[in-house]
Amino acid sequence: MSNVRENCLTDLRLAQALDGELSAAEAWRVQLHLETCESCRARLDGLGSVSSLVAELHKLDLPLEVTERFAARLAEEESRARAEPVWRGWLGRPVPWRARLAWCGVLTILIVAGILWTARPHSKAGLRPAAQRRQPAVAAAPRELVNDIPAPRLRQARRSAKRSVRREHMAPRTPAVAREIATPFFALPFSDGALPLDEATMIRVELPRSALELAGLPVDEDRRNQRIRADLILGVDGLARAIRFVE
Amino acid sequence: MRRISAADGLSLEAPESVLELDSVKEPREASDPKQITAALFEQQRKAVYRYLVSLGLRPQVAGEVTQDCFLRLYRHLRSNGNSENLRGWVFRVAHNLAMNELKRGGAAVDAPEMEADPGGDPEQALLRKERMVRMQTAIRALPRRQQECLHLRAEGLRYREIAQVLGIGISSVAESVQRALAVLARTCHE
Repeated sequence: MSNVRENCLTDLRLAQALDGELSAAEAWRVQLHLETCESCRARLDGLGSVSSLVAELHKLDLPLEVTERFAARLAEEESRARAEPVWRGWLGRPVPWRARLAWCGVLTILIVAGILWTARPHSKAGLRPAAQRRQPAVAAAPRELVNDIPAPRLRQARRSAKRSVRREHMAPRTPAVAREIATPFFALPFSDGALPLDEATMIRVELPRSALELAGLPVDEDRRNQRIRADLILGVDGLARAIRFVE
Repeated sequence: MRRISAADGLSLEAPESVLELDSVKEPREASDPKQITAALFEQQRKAVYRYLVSLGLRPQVAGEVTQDCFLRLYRHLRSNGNSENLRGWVFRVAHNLAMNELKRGGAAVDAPEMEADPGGDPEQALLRKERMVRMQTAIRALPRRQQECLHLRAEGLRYREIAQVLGIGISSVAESVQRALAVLARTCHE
């Protein structure tokens, strides 16, 4: 408004005074000012007259049939709501749908996390004996056998075997397969060390238990003919380079 | 009439029209959602309906939207929603539904008919009607926000409630109402 002085009340302050939203002290200050300021009094009257001014333009009433229809719809809504099961919280108060949704989300996350936890490989690795945990391939071969293979070839074989072991762990398989490995890979003394090992493949075979002697392991005389499974690393020439025994 | 402050014996009487609308009480004592809804419908149905028509909805559509507002209020209360300032909540829902209806083409083609003044001097009635038409034209020429603030204020909402309904600041509400009033005052004195 153009005739508002610098120390006059703002429109907002006047409106708050009308709405009764000022504290007693503020209202008192407003009142003191209004006693002496004609301009603010006029503005206050203008604000107060807005409802009568505009209401006069729309002397409308909600048609009676709308009121009656609303009563019927409200009753219908109520009977439908009572037919629905109401979720109640600890204090017997209805649980809002947002809270229900949040609970469902939390439960879903917990279930999925539980499934993932139980399905992850080596979930019980910490409980198994140290001998059954993942072991470095070829690392524990008897010194005299390992010495037969030239050092670069041996490192290559170890890397290749590690790759194959890693591939096994990355593949989606059951933890039981991982647990069946009993020994690391042992380099075989009769393999040709001059042939490349980098494209080695691994095959599963069954051998008599006496084959453990190939790796320099002790064999029980009574069980020499029992079958035992083993993984063989084959070089590109098709000859076995290393072996490990599985349970 | 209501005094703005009676703390020190001084008095200032605010215009009665605002105070009548301002004295609306929310039915807090009732705890049943249906009772609260029915009570608030009884108190506010005309105000909501008038506001919807003033936004430009056809009277029939405004009637349906009014019902929808209060049915939504019932569901809101049943789902244990916030029961603070239910009048503001109803007007906010009414405003949003009206905006949706207007987008879908529920706007009135013509302005609602003004009722003829029964009895009285025909010449005075004609002058009054002319003045009303001028006022209505002036209001329609106002920016949308000013119209909304003006109509909500006319329905007795506090500035704080208007700000909540329209999602704007309380200072913007005060400014919009003042500007609208200034225009209307000029129109009255023409």
